[in-house]
Amino acid sequence: MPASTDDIDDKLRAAMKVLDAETPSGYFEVLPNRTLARLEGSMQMTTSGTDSDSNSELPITNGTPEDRKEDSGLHDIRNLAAASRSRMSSRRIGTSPPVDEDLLASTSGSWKSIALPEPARMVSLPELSELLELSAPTDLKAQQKADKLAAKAEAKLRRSRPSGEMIVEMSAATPVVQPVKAVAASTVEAPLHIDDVIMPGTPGTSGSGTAKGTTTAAIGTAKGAAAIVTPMIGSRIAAKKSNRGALYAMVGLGLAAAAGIAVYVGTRDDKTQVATSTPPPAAEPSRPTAAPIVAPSVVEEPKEEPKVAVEPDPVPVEPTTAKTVKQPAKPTVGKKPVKIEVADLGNGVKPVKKDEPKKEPPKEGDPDFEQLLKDSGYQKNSDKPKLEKKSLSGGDFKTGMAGVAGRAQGCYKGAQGTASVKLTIAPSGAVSKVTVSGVGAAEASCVEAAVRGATFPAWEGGPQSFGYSYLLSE
Amino acid sequence: MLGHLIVREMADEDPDLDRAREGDRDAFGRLVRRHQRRVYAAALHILGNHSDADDVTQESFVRAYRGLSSFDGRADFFTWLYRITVNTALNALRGGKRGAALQQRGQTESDHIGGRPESLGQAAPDPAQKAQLTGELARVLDAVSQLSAPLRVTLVLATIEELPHKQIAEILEIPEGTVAWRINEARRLLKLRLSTETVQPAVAK
Repeated sequence: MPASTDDIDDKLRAAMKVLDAETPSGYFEVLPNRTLARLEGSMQMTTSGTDSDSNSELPITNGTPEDRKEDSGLHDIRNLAAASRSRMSSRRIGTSPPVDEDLLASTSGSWKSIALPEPARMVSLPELSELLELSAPTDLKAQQKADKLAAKAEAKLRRSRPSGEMIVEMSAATPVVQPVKAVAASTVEAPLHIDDVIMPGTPGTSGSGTAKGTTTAAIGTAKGAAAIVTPMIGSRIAAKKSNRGALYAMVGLGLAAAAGIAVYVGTRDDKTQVATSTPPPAAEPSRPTAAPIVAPSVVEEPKEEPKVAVEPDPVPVEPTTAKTVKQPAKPTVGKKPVKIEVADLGNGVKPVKKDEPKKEPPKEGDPDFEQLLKDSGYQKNSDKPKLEKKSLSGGDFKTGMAGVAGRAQGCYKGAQGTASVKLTIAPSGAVSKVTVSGVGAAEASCVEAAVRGATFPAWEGGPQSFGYSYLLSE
Repeated sequence: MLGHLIVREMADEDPDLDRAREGDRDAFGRLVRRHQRRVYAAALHILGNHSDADDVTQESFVRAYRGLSSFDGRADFFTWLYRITVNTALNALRGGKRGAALQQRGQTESDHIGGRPESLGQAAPDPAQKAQLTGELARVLDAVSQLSAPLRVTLVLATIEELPHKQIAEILEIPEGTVAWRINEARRLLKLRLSTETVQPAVAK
């Protein structure tokens, strides 16, 4: 026989009573303290600024959200800008200039193809962005393991590959190792291996004498030095998979450039030897003839550049080219040209970085953003004084209403009745909305006008609504 | 020709409420003590077990504290708090992890029935009554647990909390007609399930 509705209700009530009876003894004695402790914890989490928490636990409100101070839309734009800025700054790593990022980007692909043995090529290396994100220090073992693997791969590659894919600036006929004297006498473009210069102690590299010789060759010509950097960076990426290579690249680049200049200055007396040993740069034909540019290995003195020095308007002549010497990369490797920025050579023309986007100064007619904000009447939140009062209490309300009581009581026009007033008060303390009912139109408008004149103390928070009644009688 | 000023009852004239709004934790603690039993009972009836009811009770008070500044006093404080509690419990039910709580308790928690006669002033049932109530409780709570969250909440508010349909409609923000339909539907389903469960063991035997 099916149970009736009353039976079901009774059973349900009985079950719930039993549930109630299961409440642990003393539970309600500790509940307030536990609730306050939880409140304390949640408030700490909120003030610590966890976005997920603030999003997931929005307070239940039936008024205007407390933290929303204005509705101009700038609030959201500012938040969005701040979020984007923090996101972008978190992605930014190190202090490497853009030229190094370009360098890394151009080398990573080519090193994928030559830095790994054949089976490993089938596995795609992570992209540059992923490598850069691995900048967090890993454990030492993993790094050592990566170093070993890279060294092994390099040694294997050296054994298996006869030509200079790993050897930069080496002609096919040039032997891998050359004595120092031979380098000085015949050519400065001696065979250079990245480990000979950067990592002399790496297993599988040449002996110390060879390292010295190749290093000398490297610093003897900035072209060679610049070309070293690229495989070095690629090797570091392939070996360590971190952006530490970029830092080494920066240091190596700076050292190589400085050493190249120093050696050039030191060996400049022996001009005939340098002139005979240095072949003309490959990228020279594309250079404009107006500015006689030389490679750092054969950098002329400032007095040898009269056109640049006496040019009244240096911009059309591009004095940058006088300072920035582009070194073409090895065509077989397919790298982007490396730019070596040479400091002021003393001709009075300051070097200009060509790759940097020019920052346009604000035009005359463009108004300042801050000024626009100011003109629109917007005020920053920080300018607003924080009010201690969080809400309008009943006492405050009564006091405010008492101020207009006399005027409201004067609205009696002969017909007795109760004027029910509903009013909404803005946080500024001003009456924003008034509704009067229960009396005639004339009395209602009179009472409304009276109530609109009431003022209340300002508070932090949303608007509040109250009810109030006047008995209009003689 | 003097008018008489009549100030209607202000909902927010509770001094503890005013102080709690201004950040006084002690005052808020007094509010918790004052309302905790009813809040906890509502959560327990909706969720069906102590641990979840405890969690929802605390969460409701925390949310209420955070929203105090926007509580405009148009409604009674407890009504407002009760609404927060019901919605928090409803969210918890919809969250899924508590959905099976009632279902499981029929076997696991019914053994403890009547073990704490001092709580909530309920008299302890005698052993025979306890055994009978255990079976009843298991069946009823199983049937309730199979109801959807909206049906369960509406039924509890109407039958256990004995709230009028109008107030239930305000709390759940649904039309009164929907409240009535949900209650009837919940009762119909409960009746069906309880009668089925009553018949099935007999057939099996």
